[in-house]
Amino acid sequence: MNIRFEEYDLENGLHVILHRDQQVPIVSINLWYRVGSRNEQPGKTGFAHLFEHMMFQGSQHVPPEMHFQLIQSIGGTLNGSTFFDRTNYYETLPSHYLEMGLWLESDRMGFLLPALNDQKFQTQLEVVKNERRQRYENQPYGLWLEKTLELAFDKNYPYHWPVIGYMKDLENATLEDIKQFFRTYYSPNNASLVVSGDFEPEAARKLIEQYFAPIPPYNHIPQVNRRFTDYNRGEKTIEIKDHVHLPRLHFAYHIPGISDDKIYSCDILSNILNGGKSSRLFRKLVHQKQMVQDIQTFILPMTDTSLFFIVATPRPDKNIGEVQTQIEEELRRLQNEKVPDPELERVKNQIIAHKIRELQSVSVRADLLNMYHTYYQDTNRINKDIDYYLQVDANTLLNTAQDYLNRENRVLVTYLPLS
Amino acid sequence: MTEQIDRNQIPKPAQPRPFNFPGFEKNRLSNGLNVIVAPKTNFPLINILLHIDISPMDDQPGAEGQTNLLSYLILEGTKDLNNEQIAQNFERIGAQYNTHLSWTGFFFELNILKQHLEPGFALFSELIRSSVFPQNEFQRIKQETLIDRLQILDMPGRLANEHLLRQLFPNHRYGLPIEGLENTIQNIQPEQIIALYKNRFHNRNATLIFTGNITMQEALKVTNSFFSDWGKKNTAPKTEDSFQNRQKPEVLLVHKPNAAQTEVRIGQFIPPRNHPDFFKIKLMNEIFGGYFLSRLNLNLREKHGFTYSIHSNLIYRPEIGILSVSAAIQNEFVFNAIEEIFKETERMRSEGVTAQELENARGYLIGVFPTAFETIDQISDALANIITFNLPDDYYRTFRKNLARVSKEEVLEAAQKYLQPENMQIVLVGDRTKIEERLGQKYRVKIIDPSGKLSD
Repeated sequence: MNIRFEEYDLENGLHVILHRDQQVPIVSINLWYRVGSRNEQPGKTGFAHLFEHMMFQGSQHVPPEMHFQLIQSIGGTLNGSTFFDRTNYYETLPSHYLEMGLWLESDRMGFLLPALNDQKFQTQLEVVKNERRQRYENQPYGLWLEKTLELAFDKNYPYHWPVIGYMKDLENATLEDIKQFFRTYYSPNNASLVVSGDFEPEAARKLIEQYFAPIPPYNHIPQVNRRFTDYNRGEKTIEIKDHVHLPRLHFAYHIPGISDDKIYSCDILSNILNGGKSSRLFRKLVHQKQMVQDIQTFILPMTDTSLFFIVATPRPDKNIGEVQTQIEEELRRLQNEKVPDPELERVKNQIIAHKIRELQSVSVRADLLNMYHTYYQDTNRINKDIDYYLQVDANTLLNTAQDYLNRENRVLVTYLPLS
Repeated sequence: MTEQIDRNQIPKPAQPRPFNFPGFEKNRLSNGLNVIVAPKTNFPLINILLHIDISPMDDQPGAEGQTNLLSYLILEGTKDLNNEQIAQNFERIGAQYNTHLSWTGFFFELNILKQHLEPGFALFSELIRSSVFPQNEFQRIKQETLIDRLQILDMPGRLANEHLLRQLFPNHRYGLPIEGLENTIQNIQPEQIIALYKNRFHNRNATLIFTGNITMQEALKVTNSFFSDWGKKNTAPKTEDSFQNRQKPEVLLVHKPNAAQTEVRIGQFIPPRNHPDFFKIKLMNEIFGGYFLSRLNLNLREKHGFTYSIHSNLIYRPEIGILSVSAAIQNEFVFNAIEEIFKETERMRSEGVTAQELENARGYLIGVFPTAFETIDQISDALANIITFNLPDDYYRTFRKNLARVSKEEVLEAAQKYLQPENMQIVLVGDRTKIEERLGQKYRVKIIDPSGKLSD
């Protein structure tokens, strides 16, 4: 598989990536802004995400409610998402509506503020508070990530708070805060644009120039210059009693940031432990010992530093200390014994097949192109990613496990049933 | 120099490029096994989806959940392989695989790279044909299913869905979850699973759907090598059920102490999926609560901020449909939200919809069509719908034409005929101390705990 693309910068600093594929007459427009919850301050959390909601409320030339209406009424799908390190906005349209999509995206990049008003803001504030209740507060174990981040990072580190923000901070948010956020970060030189799918490159370049080039860049965009160094500085734990029937253990190990090559070994280790039903933790804890109802391993990738998660739900009658011991025993095995070739081969094959599957959709390709550009400054990583995985050998895995999968390098959040 | 553009003008669309649902071919082996192939060659991937006409309706009363256990146990052992070897053999070729049971049948889905077709398909067929249901794995999966039932008590959204179905189908299998309830799962014995497998699983109508980088010839070759002597296929017996909406609903409130929000479900019956009014109902629902521009969303989310998300969905069982409104609502506004939902229901019935609303909804459903069939998994699911809901082969090819025909008068008619507020069942999952009082002023409120036990 080779994903072909071209990329260039507009004079105002907007990075543009074009990827053409005419299989299906649809086109995806995908914008990443290099701003997320990591750019927030303690006491003002949740602003990046709250701001994202305001980007769907119309802009100077787009009347309120028309942003959704124009896209959906022609069969477009759209959304946005906010993460620690970036915020993205995307729509997939029937390809003959490309120009309209570029018009909408450029209008909210360049001309958002005149359309904002306090009424829209107050309503979206309530919507976001309800989002927090629905997705986190009213879910079993719903605050697991929030609690993990609070322990994993000290209170001034910008990964200390959840992307959705704290209720108290949301309640104190003002329209002026939101406007300031826009004036600080929403600039063409802090963003990148991918157009992916069915389009004529010549025409697309011209339209992008027409709609985006007139938007002036910001001179100074504040950067967060933090470097996480607190690896292996001691275990931190918390026990939470909640309205749940089963306990749950969340182990989070500090691992390097997303663009560090060690992330590839971490991902492979995660799959050795729990990538499918033949993986180590699943075999041992679900099949053989029948101690857990469910187990997952995954990586939360962030730019400064990332987290490697193992989440286990012990069965109701099992000793959670014993579950913990068994998991730790498997981690020690990874630190002491080389992973045998067939097992490594299996994981690599699973990853390759997975990577190919996810490339089927032009909107996923658009998002990946933007991700590789933003996090690695190397868009072509989309084509080299598999090679990086293939290069990982058993020695690298051993070293990575020794460096990071240690008790003194982790946070443990334990949920216990109230009754 | 770039030309100046006028940002006050909405850009005009260019010339559309045509798109159609991918072509597919059908074939039938002499034992009655159906084979469908939809080639799509832009990736080296193949999706294989087997549908067998066995469903939770095959469960014995009192032991509901049998067919569900069967569907999981298919992956747990054959004459020659234990579950570890099965998992290893699939995973070493990077296969993605799962079995699941729905109201429309049993499904086994396998997604593999083309180069692994032979070994992948050989294992797939072995599981279907030679599973042995080891005792110890039976016990383990039964236990896991029982623990799942316990966990559901913690999940407000799932609880709300289940209790709505129980309200709609008080005396029918459809009112119980696919996996059964604690006491019915307890009654399931391994011999029952083996009997189901022997007597029904192998003999029921079955369809193999191949999508992706494969031709009919290649598909028939592997199918013939592994399935040509598989059991003779028969139609599942049809039950003659009739479903009646219940009058004068009470509000069922599932009390969950300290719930941060209230899950609201409001539902009623609608005609089945293959009913001639389907397209009218589809458009009516879209405008009512089907997408972001719907009345329910614009009112409850965008105007009032009562919720982060509200939808009305059309949910289908083989002989009947359900229209279900679902939302997670801020506790303080549960009463107002229900009032607004019924106000919008009445407005659909009295005012009908505007030409603009109809054009938007129609434009959405027609325009989103190519995006809905981009990946082979999406295409495969769509083909399975044709089989399971007994739809015409040209269903997707005529889908947009059928939507285009519906008039605004017909949407009004559909609303008047099919939206029945007096029959809509209301189910809430939330903290009674925060919502009960206001509701009690208008409704008769029946309160239960999450496991279904009555409170005072």
